[in-house]
Amino acid sequence: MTAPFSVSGLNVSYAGRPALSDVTWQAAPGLTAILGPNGAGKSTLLKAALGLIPADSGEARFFGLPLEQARARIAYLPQRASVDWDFPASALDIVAMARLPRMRWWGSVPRAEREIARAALASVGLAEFADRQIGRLSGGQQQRVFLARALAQGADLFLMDEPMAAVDAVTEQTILDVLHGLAREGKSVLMVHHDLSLITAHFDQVLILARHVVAAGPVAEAFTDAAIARAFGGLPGRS
Amino acid sequence: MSEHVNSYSAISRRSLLAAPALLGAAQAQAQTQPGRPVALATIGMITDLLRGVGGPAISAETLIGEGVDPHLFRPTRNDIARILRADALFFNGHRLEGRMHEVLGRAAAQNGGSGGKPTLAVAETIPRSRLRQNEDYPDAADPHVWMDPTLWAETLPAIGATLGRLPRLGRDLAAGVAETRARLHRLDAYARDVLASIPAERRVLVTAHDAFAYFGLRYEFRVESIQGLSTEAEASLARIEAMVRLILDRRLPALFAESSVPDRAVRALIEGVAARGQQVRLGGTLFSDSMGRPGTYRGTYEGMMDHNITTISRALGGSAPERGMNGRL
Repeated sequence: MTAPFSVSGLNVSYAGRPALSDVTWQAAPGLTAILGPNGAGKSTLLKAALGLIPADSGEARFFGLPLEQARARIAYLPQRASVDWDFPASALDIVAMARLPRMRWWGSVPRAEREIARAALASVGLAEFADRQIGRLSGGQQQRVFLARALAQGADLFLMDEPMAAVDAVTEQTILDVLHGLAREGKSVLMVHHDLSLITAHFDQVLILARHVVAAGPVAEAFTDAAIARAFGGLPGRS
Repeated sequence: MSEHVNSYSAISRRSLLAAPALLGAAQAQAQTQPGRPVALATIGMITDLLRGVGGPAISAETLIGEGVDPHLFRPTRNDIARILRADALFFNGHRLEGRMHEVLGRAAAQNGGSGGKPTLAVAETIPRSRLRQNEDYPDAADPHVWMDPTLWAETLPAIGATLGRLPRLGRDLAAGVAETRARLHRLDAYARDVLASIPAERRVLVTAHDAFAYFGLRYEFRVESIQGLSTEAEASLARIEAMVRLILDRRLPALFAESSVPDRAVRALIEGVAARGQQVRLGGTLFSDSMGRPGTYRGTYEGMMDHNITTISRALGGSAPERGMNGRL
């Protein structure tokens, strides 16, 4: 089976300072947590692989294909509260956006597509907020709307950047439920994550980063005290 | 020079006295939100990318206003002051801003280093192999990159990286890059859909100046323009003659004017075709180097492209929703 995601020789720097050096890694299907201290390059890995920030060298593949050819199979959930909505869009409008590439452009959104969007909203516990303007939802609810949009897209690989950072308990539980639902459907998830306590119960694999790959593999093998100590204790250049 | 400046300020003082409302409007436009870094773009098409990427963390402003041709734009003293004052500077490059070329080049050279003001020639971040040659300037490529939304989207990572050099931005720009890219790809999907409905023999875009080459490459149009790449070149009679023959041969139903270029030459073509006993109509006015009025839908990049795509499709016999991609035309 082709790996859902792989990078080879990835180097990224910010203003001349290295953020990732020579990262080569291949994700196995299933749920993977990307761990590491602040500044370890966890978010940078996702952003560079998705072409959202320039990389100095290296390449990323999705299901063995370059990004352009795999785009429809990938959903990205960026860090929270960083998108601006300058138009009056409801929660349902936002989710329905994920279905637009499959629609014709005239007339209104077909009922079948709207139902898919509604179902995605329901799966994150926001069915009754479908008509609420996105700006009038709480931060955690907005996060769930974007999760619903990622679900409605029908992707096979989900890249999530700290979706559980600073969210309420309901949102955290919703995200965990969604993760397990995706795993049951045979989808893959790469999630940048900071809470070490959730790893063993909820993830299949880990990637531990400290600007380079410290450890990677099944949780039972790679998620060791020694690897964590190396990553969190010895980040070069940190005071 | 000083005489010119004096008479200018005398005029503006008079008109300011006569129109206090205008003064208020001008101030409101020039005013910047305190605390937010100012990212200044030469053209509105770039300003919209800055808004998408930077969101509320920055104040994105445009130097060259509505309906003004960037090829011919000359910065006033006030414009140069805005360039110097801005916290980050974005221009298209490849000689689009023909008469500001040196000013911008100097600003980029002074500020381009890691310690200076973040500055980016947006269109010049795209690999040269993806761009078309500029026939007017051998050292540059065709600057009208925004005409292909997927090519325009490729400038987003560099824009994010440049904005990211602003101190105390406190914001993850990758989300803005991803969201803006998704919107540009959605625009592209609409364009492909509604332009594909135009019959093959009519997929010829006749316009005033040569700004639509990337559009033509992306959406499979033959593009014929009366003037060359820069609006500075005049149309020749022989060129108009050749275009009249093309319109007659292909029985093209419509040709297009541009908002920032005088439509004399386009009207000459319509008359030339009529003199041969055929009718070609003005299919509409397209936005090429400038967008619509600020604050309106056509005053956004998405709105201007939607207008162009929808207008072209409907004028050449394709099917597109009357009010465009978002029902806002």
